[in-house]
Amino acid sequence: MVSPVVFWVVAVLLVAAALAMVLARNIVHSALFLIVSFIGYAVLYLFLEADFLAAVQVLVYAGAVSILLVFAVMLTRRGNMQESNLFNNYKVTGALIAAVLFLLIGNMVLNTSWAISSIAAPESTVGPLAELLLGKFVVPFEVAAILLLVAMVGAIIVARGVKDSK
Amino acid sequence: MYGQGLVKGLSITLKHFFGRAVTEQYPEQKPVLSPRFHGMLALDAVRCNACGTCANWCPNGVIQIESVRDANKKRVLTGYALDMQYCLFCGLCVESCPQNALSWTQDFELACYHREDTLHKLYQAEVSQVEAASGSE
Amino acid sequence: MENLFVNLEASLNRFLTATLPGSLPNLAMALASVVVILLFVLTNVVWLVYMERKVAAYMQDRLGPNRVGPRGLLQTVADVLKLLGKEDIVPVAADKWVFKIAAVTVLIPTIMLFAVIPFGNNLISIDLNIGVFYFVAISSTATISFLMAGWASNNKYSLLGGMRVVAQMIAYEIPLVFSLLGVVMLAGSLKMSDIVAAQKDVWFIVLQPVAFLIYFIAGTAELNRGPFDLPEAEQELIAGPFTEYSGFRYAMFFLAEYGNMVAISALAVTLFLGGPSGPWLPSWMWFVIKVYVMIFLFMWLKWTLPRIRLDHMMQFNWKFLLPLSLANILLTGIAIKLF
Repeated sequence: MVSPVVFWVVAVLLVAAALAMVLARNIVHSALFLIVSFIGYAVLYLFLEADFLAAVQVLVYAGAVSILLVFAVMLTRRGNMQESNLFNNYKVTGALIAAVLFLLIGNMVLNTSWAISSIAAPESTVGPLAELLLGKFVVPFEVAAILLLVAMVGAIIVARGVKDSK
Repeated sequence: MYGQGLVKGLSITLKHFFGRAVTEQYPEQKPVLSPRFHGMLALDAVRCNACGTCANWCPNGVIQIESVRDANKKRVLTGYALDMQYCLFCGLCVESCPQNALSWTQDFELACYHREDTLHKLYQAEVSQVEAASGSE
Repeated sequence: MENLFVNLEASLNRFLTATLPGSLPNLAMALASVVVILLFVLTNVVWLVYMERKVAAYMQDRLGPNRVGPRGLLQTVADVLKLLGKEDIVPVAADKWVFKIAAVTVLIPTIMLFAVIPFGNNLISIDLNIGVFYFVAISSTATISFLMAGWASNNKYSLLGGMRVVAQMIAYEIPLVFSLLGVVMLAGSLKMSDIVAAQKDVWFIVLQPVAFLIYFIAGTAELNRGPFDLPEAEQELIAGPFTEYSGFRYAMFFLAEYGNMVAISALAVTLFLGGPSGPWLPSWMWFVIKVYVMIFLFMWLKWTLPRIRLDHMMQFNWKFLLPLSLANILLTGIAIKLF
């Protein structure tokens, strides 16, 4: 009885926050609206009984990425923050592409027959996830880890600059 | 070793934590002052012969002395006032007094609400006494 | 005594089920636990502000507040009343909405953290499967409010303070989480009740002393307290992100700060100090006692050490705490495999 009400409240808030993020003229406001929509996603995950995923969403996106985002925004601070997130000349084209994409996805969503799983949600999601990640998918998992490490080392080298060899 | 200073510091603060506080709870608990504390001045009017040395020594002109001469042409003190708003508690008056009539007290609560209240009358002879002293001239 | 609060909860539940229809009793019970947590946090904060001043005073051979009420106990009440009566100032150049919202959102993670804390045997609002992880996730969002406050104030001190909060809290969150991992590996669960149950024989502080140390240090940094109070370093930044705040908005930040201290202490008790278990006394009383031991440790550290330098703070984290916590996890894993 309660959950549909909460769902619709969250859904409306989420869409509103996402729209506000795109339309806000102040880039910091955009980042803050992004955090709101990330937290909204986390609530949606909770409705899917994916509690671990919801917590990850909050930790990784709302907690960390947003902060880094705000960091980047502030390092490029301008004199007038009111107009730091303006539209460029592709306003109409962008809107058109977005509308087409929206219609496409909407059409696909409506045409799919969603099978409702009869299996009850697992009691604990962490254990099975860990077993999958560190058992069956251990190679992709480690590859992803190495990829991130490479990206990090690369970032450090780019930031520090390579010393001139003699 | 790492952390040695940390442990030392923590033990010091803990020792003080259980130690006694040195705070004086002032209005209820009066401080114990040194005997040489410069507080309010006190005048022994019997000893004072109104010579005016203290007033002369005073760098700020705090001391106001009133006196009359009696039958033997001797000065008699009739009034002794301190304008404490100018006093810097240097103590030259006390040092200079030939009769040792001036002394310091431990009273330091001299704050007051009105400027007039800073004038402290340490001695004021009665009108009859003044007349008796000067009238016999 | 042991079941005092459990019985209270049960009778409230019975009363609500009898009077309210449908699923409303569940909703009302959830609301009731929120109210209870709020009360717990608020009373503790009022007491902690007083305790902080007293502890500081005693360590400096002073007496501390002793005028308002018996032994100065009502000092905090007087302070709050004073704050309530102050003029509500929003700087003209501030980003008004963000400025105002930051003072409200700062308290939300603090209150949410307490949802998974076991206050006693069977005294836990929601015993989530991912209890510890939930705690970490929620506490990671605390930074946003500080940054919002620092940025919206449109003041250089605030902004610098906000930047420092973010830099410090993000950096120290990593060793904090890694130190918790050692405990989670030993208990084999993220569930708070399981972790408490796993410590029935021996507390995890005995098995994981290094993790506890890392947790304590990183926790101090997360709380922006003690030697890690760079974000609000009075001598250089006035009050960091809170510089422009006054009146009750300022009080909200204060509230969150002390509330977070209770939460971090409570998590330390749950994960390392055996949770709310102990002989003779009721479990909830043991919980409070242990939490206050932790809080005293935080205060003791704060009033002993001078502020750490910014570059030292970063170096200490990345070059010492982080490798140490990783080594701790590795050793724990090897030990689990061996025994």
